[in-house]
Amino acid sequence: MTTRPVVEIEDLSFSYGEVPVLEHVSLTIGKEEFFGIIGPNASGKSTLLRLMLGLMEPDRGSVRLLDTSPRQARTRVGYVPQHPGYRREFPVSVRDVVLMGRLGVTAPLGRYSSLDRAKAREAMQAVQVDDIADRNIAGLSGGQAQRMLIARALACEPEILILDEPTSNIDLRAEESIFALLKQYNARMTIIIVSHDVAFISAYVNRVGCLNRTLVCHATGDISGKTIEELYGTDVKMIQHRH
Amino acid sequence: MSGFFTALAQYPFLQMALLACLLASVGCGIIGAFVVVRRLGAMAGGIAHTVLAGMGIAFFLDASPVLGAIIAALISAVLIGLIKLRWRQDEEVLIAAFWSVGMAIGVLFISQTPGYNVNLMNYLFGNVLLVSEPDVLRMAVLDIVIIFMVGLFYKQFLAAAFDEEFALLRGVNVELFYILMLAMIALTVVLLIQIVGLILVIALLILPAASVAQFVASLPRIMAGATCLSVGITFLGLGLSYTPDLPAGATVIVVAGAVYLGAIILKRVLSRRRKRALARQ
Repeated sequence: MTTRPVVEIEDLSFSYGEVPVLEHVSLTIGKEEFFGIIGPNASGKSTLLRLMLGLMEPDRGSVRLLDTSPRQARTRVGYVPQHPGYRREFPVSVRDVVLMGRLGVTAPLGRYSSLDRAKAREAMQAVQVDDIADRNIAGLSGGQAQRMLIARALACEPEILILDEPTSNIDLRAEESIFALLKQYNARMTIIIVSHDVAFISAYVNRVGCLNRTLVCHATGDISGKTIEELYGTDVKMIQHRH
Repeated sequence: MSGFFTALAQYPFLQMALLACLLASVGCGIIGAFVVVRRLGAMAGGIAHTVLAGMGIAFFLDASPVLGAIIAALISAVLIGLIKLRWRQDEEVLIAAFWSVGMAIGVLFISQTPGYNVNLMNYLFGNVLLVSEPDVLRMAVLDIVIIFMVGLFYKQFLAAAFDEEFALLRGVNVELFYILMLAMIALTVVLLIQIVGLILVIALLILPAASVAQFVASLPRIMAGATCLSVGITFLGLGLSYTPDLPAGATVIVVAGAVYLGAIILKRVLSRRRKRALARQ
């Protein structure tokens, strides 16, 4: 029995009006792969994720997740957005937010079950926000809020976990612990992570897709100054030399 | 006020009025909390004013004005929601259009009603002292519908209100739940109109929940607190208006405004005191 790839993207193109954002992107991601997507600002990283989640429709080409359409696969995918889509002053606790990850898994009517509560607790413990579970979200630091959003995605018990710049508000030590944690979860789920931090991400992922309107994939061993230069242009090369 | 209590023991119509206040407060607390956290106040105002169209048409056809109100409120809630979501029209423009056009339709129908002798003021500003037993029964049914819907789908209503995109990704039909929430607002508006009339209704819907939300940071607690506060506000308003024979609806709204003002002043005083205490440490 062969396992089908969990993500199959074929000849995908997308533009906002006249502005092309993605052109001829093809990508196959296998089960339990840890896949990184890197690229400069406005290279189409978030757009690619939104197409995978079925939040937008491609102009051309196709996206399939878990052998079905992105919309059908939605509840089997966990998503950590780059910019949280909520108001900080909304009257909910960290626990309330993490429990929302159980929607799509839990029964549609009535309250969350004790299983839902246990799974939410587990997810909060994994990212170390269980001690602030009852805290109102208004008082959270940027790092705490980001970890809460990761817990919310883990509570989905997803087959694919998609993270969009999950460590942008987090200091380096916390960033390392989150990547180490993701590495553990990788045994159970495929992980797709977007980052602009080329050096950092390559230590954890199996394969990297370099995106700048078009996509070029590399096994992580292959990332050299040359590929980064192709991707970012000369400015980044200068930064690379300083290291 | 003491005159009010002796009258209360004596007159069934006053007991009926208090019962109506109690029933209106339940819907007011539950849905008011959602209106405040989702910032749907203007939307609720728009829906409330379209109710006059339903009442006007009901007068013209010699049908039940409350039934007309329910139908008009539900139709306008669903239409505003659908046009906003599907035709991508600006919410503010839609609210303005429904608000005034709804009232205009109501005025046109009332003007053409044979033997035009309707006491329009009662519907615009409410007259809780005229609430009858069937009215109270209808209000109880509306409450049951609201409690039932929110109890059944609380998870979805909360998730869609908090983070629409994430709720969508978790398979919640956020458009459906948005329109359902507008429909719940429509029913609540009809409940509250019996107490304060359609012009003053937004204040009673929003101010108790907004006052409680100053001090409480959980949606169920805001609902419970706003329900209790709304009971207090409507009872006090009714009591204060009785002896000097003031319009009850308007008195209730002034009390609601005073409570809200008190709440935001208290909040400010408390947070200043806390800051000073922190600075001293």
